[in-house]
Amino acid sequence: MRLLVNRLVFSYAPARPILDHLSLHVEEGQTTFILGANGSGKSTLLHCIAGLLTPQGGAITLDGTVIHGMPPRIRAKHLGLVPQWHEPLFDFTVEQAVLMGRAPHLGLFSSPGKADRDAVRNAMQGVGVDHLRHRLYTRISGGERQLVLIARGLAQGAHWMLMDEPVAHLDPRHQHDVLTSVRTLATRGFSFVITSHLPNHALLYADRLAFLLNGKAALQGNPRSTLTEEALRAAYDMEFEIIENEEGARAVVPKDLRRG
Amino acid sequence: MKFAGLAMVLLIAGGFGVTAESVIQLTDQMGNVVEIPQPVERFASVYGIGTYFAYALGVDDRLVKGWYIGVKSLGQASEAMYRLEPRLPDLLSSGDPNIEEMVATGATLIFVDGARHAGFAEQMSDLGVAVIQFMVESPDALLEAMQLAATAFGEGAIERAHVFAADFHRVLARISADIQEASPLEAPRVLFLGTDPLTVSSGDMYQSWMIEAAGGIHVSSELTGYWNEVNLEQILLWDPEIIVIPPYGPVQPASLLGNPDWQAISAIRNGRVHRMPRVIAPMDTPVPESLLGIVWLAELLHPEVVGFNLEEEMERFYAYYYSYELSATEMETLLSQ
Amino acid sequence: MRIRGRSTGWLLVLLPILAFLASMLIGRYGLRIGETFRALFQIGDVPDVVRALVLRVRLPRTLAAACVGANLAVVGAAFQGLFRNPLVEPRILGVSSGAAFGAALALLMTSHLIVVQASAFAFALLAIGLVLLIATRFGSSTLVLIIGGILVGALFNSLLGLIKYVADPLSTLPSITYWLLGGLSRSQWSSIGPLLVITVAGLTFFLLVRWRLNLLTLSDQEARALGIRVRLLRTAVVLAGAMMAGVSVALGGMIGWIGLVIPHAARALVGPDHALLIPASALLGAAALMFLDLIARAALASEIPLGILTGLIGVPIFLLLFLRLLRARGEAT
Repeated sequence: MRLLVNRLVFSYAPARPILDHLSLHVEEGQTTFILGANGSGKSTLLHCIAGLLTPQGGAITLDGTVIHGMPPRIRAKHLGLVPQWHEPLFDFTVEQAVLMGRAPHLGLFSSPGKADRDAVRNAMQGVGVDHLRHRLYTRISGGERQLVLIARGLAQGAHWMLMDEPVAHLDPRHQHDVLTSVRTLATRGFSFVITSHLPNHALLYADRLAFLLNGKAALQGNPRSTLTEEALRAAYDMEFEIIENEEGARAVVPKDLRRG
Repeated sequence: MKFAGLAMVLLIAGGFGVTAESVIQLTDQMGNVVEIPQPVERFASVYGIGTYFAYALGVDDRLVKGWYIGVKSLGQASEAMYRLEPRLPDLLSSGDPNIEEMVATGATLIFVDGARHAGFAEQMSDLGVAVIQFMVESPDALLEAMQLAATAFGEGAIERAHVFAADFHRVLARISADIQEASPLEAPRVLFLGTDPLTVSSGDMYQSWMIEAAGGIHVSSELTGYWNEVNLEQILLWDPEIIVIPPYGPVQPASLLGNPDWQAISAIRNGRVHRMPRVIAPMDTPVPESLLGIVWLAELLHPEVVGFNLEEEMERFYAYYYSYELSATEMETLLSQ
Repeated sequence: MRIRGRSTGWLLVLLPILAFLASMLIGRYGLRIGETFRALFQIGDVPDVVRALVLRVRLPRTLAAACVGANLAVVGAAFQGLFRNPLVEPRILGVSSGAAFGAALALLMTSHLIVVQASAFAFALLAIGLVLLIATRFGSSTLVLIIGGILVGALFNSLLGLIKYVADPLSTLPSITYWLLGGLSRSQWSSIGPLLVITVAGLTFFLLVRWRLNLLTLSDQEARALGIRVRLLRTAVVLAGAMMAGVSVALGGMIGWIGLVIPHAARALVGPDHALLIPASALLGAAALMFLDLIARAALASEIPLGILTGLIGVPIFLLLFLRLLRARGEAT
């Protein structure tokens, strides 16, 4: 199965398209990072893929079916959206929060049944948050919340997770927890499209990445070959250096900060 | 504009000062000392009840502007009102009094409701106009008010005020005597409604006194203040034997008699729901006509005992106090209750 | 602190039953328990006045109190989730202001209860219609709905002021003022028909969609990504809520605070899951208003306006609940 973005055109204001005939393909079972400067259209692209925005041109297909042609409920059974961090208002338990992911499986007048609750338990176990299920969603850590949102996506039955800067507000420990969970789930067949501001994360966790530049997804490919100093310069208009240690671990560093 | 008015008033007042024979002083019902230059040629009454004093005292020809209780617009005035006061379209006023309009009338004396228009009274006084503030919710206050009003107008009026007081006492004494004679007398329980079936009078109101003077028990006398809102359960608890509807408002006996929720009340079961009749002013308010209201009530409550000739009393009243002849239909309406 | 489980369930069912019994048995007119039950279930011989009192005065009024209480509480709970704001009550969309204006307008011209009620309800619907119209023009985000509600509410409040100004201060103005203070003294079988119908329909709707309301507490994006047709659901909730609140205000006048406080109390008992919150709010709201109306009609010989009671009692309770909420939040971080 593939998620294909084919010559996508999207603009908020008529004269200036944010996404200008953008083409991208995302493979199943992989973690794909979308990198780009502020305003480059990362979130817009994600929302288009999620079906929340209707493009003015081009198409996004999932295994051949056009995403925007799908009824929202069907779409929700395939695609799970994990939005940027926000402050939750009501004290739902983790279990209740994940249960909301069952919405696409329930009619307007239905309430969740046993099958739904089982699916929720499975999803929570799959992500490793089952032990939190009676805790209040507002009282767990930011990292745990992200995992819960992933569990919700799993509860939807979705195999494609769209995550919008999922670790931006987390401390390094939780960043690592979330992204390693993502990688683990990817090995089980789930696919992740993650927008990020952190090229280093792409180096560490991505199977594939793409840079958004001038409304197009230039430079797609695996991190080793795609994440180069030239690519970074083009994307962020800044000089970076990629340093590597003996074991082959790599890191992106701004050039003018390098000492020594 | 205001200065012109002020100048005009001062001129008139000054003019009176030159030609006036005297200035009368009296204390009104709010305790203010009022000086009234004589004679009063032009006066106004913002007090809807006091306006009717003018007719009873025979000084209505000097009225230049009046608020009439029960008549807010010409559309509400009955034919009788027009016969009583042919100048009604020019005189009738309603709503809040307007200072400049009042000054423009040239009135040198104004009757005012002390409870509601004290502020207006003060402003007019500052402009040099004599203002009498009234506060009438009891029979004594009514007689006092008549006296006060009469004093402002001199001998003829004063005499008529005395006649009224005498009539008032006569009626009350007569009712009292009739009731005493026929003892033991069962005093019926009476409920007096307002403009809505669940609005009732309180023990502080004029209606309360009227019912008791007529030999009845006012069921809602425990309430205080002005009109009170109650619920049906409370009315069932009081279980009035007679229900009186005021001569104003939309409530009709038929709607209460036919209401299935009210059937358990004694008054409804016995068909004793009556609307007070009305010719000129509402008889349940402290106007001179309340004299007839008491007579009507007494007849209603104790028909076998009270010995008035209602027809005679009514004819006499209207003739003397209003110089008004009751038509045959009017008489019929008054008596049909 | 959340009381969970069976005991809460029993409490929630027991309270309205208790309130109902109290309401039927207690009043200005002293009744014995035996004759009350005999009258209620039409068994045996009962004096006319007792039968009239039980079946024609107390029963319709008690039902009205239960319906209005349940309506306002459920709509309050739903709106608090819908607008993602725990300080919202049904008034926010201008429904009450429209109803108040409609009632005052009718009172200017007539005193027939049916007309007043119909006018109040009609203008309540007009108010919500205006708000939805604004929403279609400017987008139905929650912000637009709230602003629309404020504007429409302000409009009708001004018009209400105009009516108060021209009303006769001796008879009409007191009627309007009294109506605005809220009360159920005119709840007879002849007048509570629409209330009963709309309550049943409205509560049924909310019970059916109650779980789905949880999803409206998420951001619009998330809800849509979960396949929810947010605009449709939101409009349906707003309309149903407006009708339930509108018919309640049309009969009972301005009864505030129930829609704000009861959902908070219910949330403290069963949590924010609307699947539990909606039924809990309905039961608590019914019980609360039945108890309060009992005081309104039985404490004194004259009626105490219900709106005053809900305010006087609602405010301190709300403060208590809110303090607990703040303290709980403080502990969280």
